[in-house]
Amino acid sequence: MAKIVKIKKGLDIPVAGSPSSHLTNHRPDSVAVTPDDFPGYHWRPIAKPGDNVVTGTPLFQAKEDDDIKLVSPVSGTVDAITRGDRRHIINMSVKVNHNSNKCVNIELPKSIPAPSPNNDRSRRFDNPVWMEFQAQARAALKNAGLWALLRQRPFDVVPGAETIPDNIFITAFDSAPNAPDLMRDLEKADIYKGIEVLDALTYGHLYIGTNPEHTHELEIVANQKAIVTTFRGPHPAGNVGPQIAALNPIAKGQTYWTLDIRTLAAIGYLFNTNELNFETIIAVSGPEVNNPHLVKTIHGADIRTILKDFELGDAPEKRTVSGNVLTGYTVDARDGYLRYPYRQISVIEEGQNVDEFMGWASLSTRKYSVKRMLPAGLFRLKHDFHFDSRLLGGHRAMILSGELDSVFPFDIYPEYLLKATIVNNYEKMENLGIYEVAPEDFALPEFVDTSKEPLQQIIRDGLERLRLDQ
Amino acid sequence: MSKKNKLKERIDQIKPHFEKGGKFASFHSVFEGFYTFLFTPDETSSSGVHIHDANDTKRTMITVVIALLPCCLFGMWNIGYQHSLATGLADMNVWQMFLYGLLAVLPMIITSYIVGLGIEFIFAQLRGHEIQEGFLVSGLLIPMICPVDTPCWMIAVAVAFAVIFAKEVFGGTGFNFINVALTARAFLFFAYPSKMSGDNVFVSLSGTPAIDAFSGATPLAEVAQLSTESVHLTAINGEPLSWMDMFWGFNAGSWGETSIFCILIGMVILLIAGIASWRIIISAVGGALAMGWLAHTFATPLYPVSMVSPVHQFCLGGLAFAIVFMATDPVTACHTNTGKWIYGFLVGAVAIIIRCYNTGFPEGAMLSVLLMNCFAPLIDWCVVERNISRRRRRIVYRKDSTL
Repeated sequence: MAKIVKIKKGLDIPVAGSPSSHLTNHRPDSVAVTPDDFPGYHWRPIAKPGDNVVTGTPLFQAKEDDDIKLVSPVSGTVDAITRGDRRHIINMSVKVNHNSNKCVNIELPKSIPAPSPNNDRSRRFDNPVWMEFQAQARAALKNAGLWALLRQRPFDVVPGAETIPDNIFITAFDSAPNAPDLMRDLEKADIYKGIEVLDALTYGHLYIGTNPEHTHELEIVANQKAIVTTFRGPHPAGNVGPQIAALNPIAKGQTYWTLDIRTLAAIGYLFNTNELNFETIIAVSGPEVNNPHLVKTIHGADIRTILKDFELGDAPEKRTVSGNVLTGYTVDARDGYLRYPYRQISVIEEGQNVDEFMGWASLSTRKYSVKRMLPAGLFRLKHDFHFDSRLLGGHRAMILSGELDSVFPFDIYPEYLLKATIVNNYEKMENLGIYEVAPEDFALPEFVDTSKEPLQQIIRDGLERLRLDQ
Repeated sequence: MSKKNKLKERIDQIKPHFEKGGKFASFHSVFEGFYTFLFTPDETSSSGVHIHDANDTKRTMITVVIALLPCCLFGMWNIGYQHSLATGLADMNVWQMFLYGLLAVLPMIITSYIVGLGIEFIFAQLRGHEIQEGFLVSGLLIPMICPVDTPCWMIAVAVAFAVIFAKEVFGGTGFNFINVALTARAFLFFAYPSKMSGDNVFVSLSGTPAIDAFSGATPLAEVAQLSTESVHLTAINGEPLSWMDMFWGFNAGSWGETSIFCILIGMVILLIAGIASWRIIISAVGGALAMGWLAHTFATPLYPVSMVSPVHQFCLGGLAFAIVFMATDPVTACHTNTGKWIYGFLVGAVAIIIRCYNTGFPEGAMLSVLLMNCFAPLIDWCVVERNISRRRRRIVYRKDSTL
């Protein structure tokens, strides 16, 4: 039986526009790879506009390590490299050739070695057969561009080329507002293969965190090769951060890999079929989408053609977010692209021209707050709320104590960690647990923060400084 | 709808004058303060989360002010009531009493707000920050914990001292380590002791001669002068005063803090709103009861306050008020949950210790909270250190990092 962990601290924000399970197919006109979505490396473009590419052709190469690549998720022609300030590359777009579904040939290891007697895991790292498999599998992941889809903690970046993870955490559900079901239409064979491959690459274990709905299914698929744990409770139960904190917290000096189950299935698909599959199922949702539902599309697909099938609300100015409303990026609805690792597009009202007279005194039941100072919080209203992107307050110093803790399911004092991060006290940051967190873990604290501070940015900057100074 | 849009349009028209380079750029913070008071700021999120909880600091501080209102309104009435007792004017009705009290304290409240907010405005402008709302609460608290006869100039000096030296020098609301309102009170207490304690400051007579039996002592002062083993209290007109009377607040004292009933209403509001920490309140009450019980068990006429039963201690002086409104100040109390339990307990216990065994000070609650404010960072430090050492102890089982 899978262990059940109940996440108590958290919050399910009732954002209007949750997606129905209706699924449509989408064929993008163009896709783009955004190097900023793959932090931890500097990316050098190795394809030029006009080049013909197939699925898996490298578009970018890491300056730090030539083996790590970002690949084209489709076949087509490289359209343009968009640059921003100081020639910083924003993305490389590829015009899709719908008539071709060719894929580069990736050299795969022949077969997974038989487990050593007594299933002694430690033997894997001194047994030549296993070590050869590991080297080949790692090379295959790097060549196929799947390595870049992994994340490592500490620092929440693409794993270093030489790292061996102490444990690997996989989340099989997304608990963010209006998120899609990650397990939708996944092949069990792919999941199992992915588990087998990743299991061979870690010193420790493979942990899969799932919601109660899929526990049974995953337990059968994993077949004891991974530790399946059921997580109950509100968001962020589906984030890997709290799952790690609940099962096996990171100690200093350890490296964990994290990914979601769809990336795991993509890895399994590669090893099963020797082909690459960058298809994904996204939810198009949010208060400004009138017919929110799921869409099957491709990583990096252009937002314009995705949104063509949707009726949008009549707010004068809308904000399109690639990702959920807590951690996603604002993108342009006309020439923006789906960003990684998000499997969601949210559309909300921008709201900067809303006139709200003395909003701080409002008794409206349409304003959402977890605090019982507003009717929504006092009466625990659960109807759908029509959020817009306003801060609804001014920037202040941290005043209320304990409000961040209430949605932060870690054995960490967020307020102290944030303060240490703001003043760049590295020793304190380490001591207080900076290695265990990613910016996304601070999304809910940032949402409830009365002082309206950009907490995720503070953590992201702190992690980046720490990483670069190492 | 259209009307308020027009108002906003008008304000938006004059807005450029207050921005950098405008005619009134030096009033930018003040303008910003009033603007955001009238209209919810339309700044949208630029990084991180795209949606925000609707609560902000304005709402938070106003909720605290609402929680203070029962005490405040009752206190005003009580000033009039005490006046009628002291002068023997039996024909004052409820509204006359209230009006008398209102007029007595209004200058104090206005002075406190003008001085405090003025300083806040100046500092916000100097720093280029928005105006912080913290003083909305402190500005009302300060008059409420002073005797009704405190001259306005004293309030002004105390407020200026507290706001500048307890708050602004450290960076403003959120950075202060001691409670601003209690700092003002402590300043007055040590700078002008004759106006802050004794028998002549807690009842407003305003020139009317008092009746013969009049004694302006507060119940706490009475208890402190007891020489018999049994505790019998009298109201200011010499009539007996029951503990129940003191629960409702019909006694003399600093005008905002006499009614335990109104303090309880405020406590319920603060707890429901989630601003005050229930941990601090429970542990402070526990601390006061424990220490009160200990003192009462070893009661001696040498220290008369120790003869009061632990429960009755709450009806005396400003203990209950300090626990609900001062000790729970989220900025100056402990920030960790474990710390809050320790902090609260010590606030209650130290208040009773000072009250019982230090005959130099009539009330211990103020000093106790200020003392514990100073210790709160240390308590938090210990709690956070425990978390750190727990993290250090995690075993790293990694065997070999070479590939």
